[in-house]
Amino acid sequence: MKRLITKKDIIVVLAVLVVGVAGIILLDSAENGKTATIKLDGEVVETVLLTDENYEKNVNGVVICVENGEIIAKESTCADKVCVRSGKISKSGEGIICAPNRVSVEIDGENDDLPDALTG
Amino acid sequence: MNMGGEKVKIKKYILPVLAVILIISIFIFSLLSEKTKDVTVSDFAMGSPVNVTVYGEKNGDEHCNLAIKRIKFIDNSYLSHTVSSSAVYTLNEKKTLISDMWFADYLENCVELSKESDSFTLFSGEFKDLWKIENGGYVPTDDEIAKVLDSHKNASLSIDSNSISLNSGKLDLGALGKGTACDEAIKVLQKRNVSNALVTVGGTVGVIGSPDGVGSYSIGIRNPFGSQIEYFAILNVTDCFVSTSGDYEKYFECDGVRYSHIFDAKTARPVQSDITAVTVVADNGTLSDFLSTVIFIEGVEKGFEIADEFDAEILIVKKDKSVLVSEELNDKLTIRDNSFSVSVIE
Repeated sequence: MKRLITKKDIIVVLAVLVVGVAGIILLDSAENGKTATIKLDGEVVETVLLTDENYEKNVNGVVICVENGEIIAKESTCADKVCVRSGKISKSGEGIICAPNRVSVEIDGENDDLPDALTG
Repeated sequence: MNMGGEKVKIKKYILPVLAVILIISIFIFSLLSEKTKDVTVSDFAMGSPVNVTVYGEKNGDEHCNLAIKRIKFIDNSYLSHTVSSSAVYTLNEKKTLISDMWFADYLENCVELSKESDSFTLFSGEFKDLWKIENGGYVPTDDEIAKVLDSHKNASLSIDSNSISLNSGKLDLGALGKGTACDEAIKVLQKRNVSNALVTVGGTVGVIGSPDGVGSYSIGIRNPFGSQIEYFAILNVTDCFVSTSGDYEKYFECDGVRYSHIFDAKTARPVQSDITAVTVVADNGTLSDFLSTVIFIEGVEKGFEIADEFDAEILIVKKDKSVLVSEELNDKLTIRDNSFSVSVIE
């Protein structure tokens, strides 16, 4: 007798399910696991998870820390301290820049709400 | 019977085969579209962050990198006051320089612009050194100020086809340099037939075309009372250059007084006024950068006159959070922070 559902059908359905569920989990974790990219001279130094509460690193004179899911330039050897005054950032597209030390930190991800550029 | 079995087999495979074809075509599509994606390259030059974004072009990386290379070349070869190989540095140290076509033309343009205001100077180098603007700040004595004012009186340039000479004074093109770098980067992109691009050098922005082929660019104007990343208004613009001069960029405070990096050439002192920032939209970056500084120095009334003369659109933020905007610019302006009150100047 011809079976309506064969072993192969089950395998195909399972494979689709596994791929789908894995995709959803991946997307979901990307959503929760927000990251920041730290650059020196425009080159990526490190990508940091904003959940990594122990993170603290001195990048070319700028001390970058994660605190309560936000990232901050705690100290800097630069004269103007513009980076330190920027405070904590956590929204996609936000950034901290230390021009004298050529260090930048940017929260990853697209945010349509942010303008294309800033003047000032 | 056999034939029937074959048919069932074929039917059974139709769905998976279709699925595989779909997945492969999605892959191919995404690979193809990746070739014309938007590319941003970031770097540092002229003491500021630099970004170049090219929208929807093949070889976006190459376009961006060449634009950044041009900015660095302009900085290192001509405008930097810290790189010892630059023309400005050489002029300040050796007082003379073998003429270079680009630089001679550029300096002549700068000198012409600077005639616009007695309070604006291309020779603010000595003022900045005296006030230690880049070294934590220092309030000089009246005697010290009188001395640099005296030296500044004779500051001038001699430009001919053979050589460029500096007759006393210290050249500092910081008020125009970032705009010039923007101009040059946009020129590189246009020569390469890039139609949609955005260049930022510090607070100066240059845009051509549009980010999606139809709309305009949104440029946030920094909140002078907030952090580096806060903006209080958005300008929707295309094919133009936008610059802002503010007393919050580089400054120091002493006894409750804020001393900014913008000097009045008549007094050799940082400008003290009721203005905190000036944003200018013009058709080239050198001009927008220059005008933002001059208007900051000259104040509201004279500022709007100067803007008119150069066909530029301006927005002035005063310390009491009132905003004065020229009529044409108001059409492109969206206020995001309602604690600022806007008046349109006709």
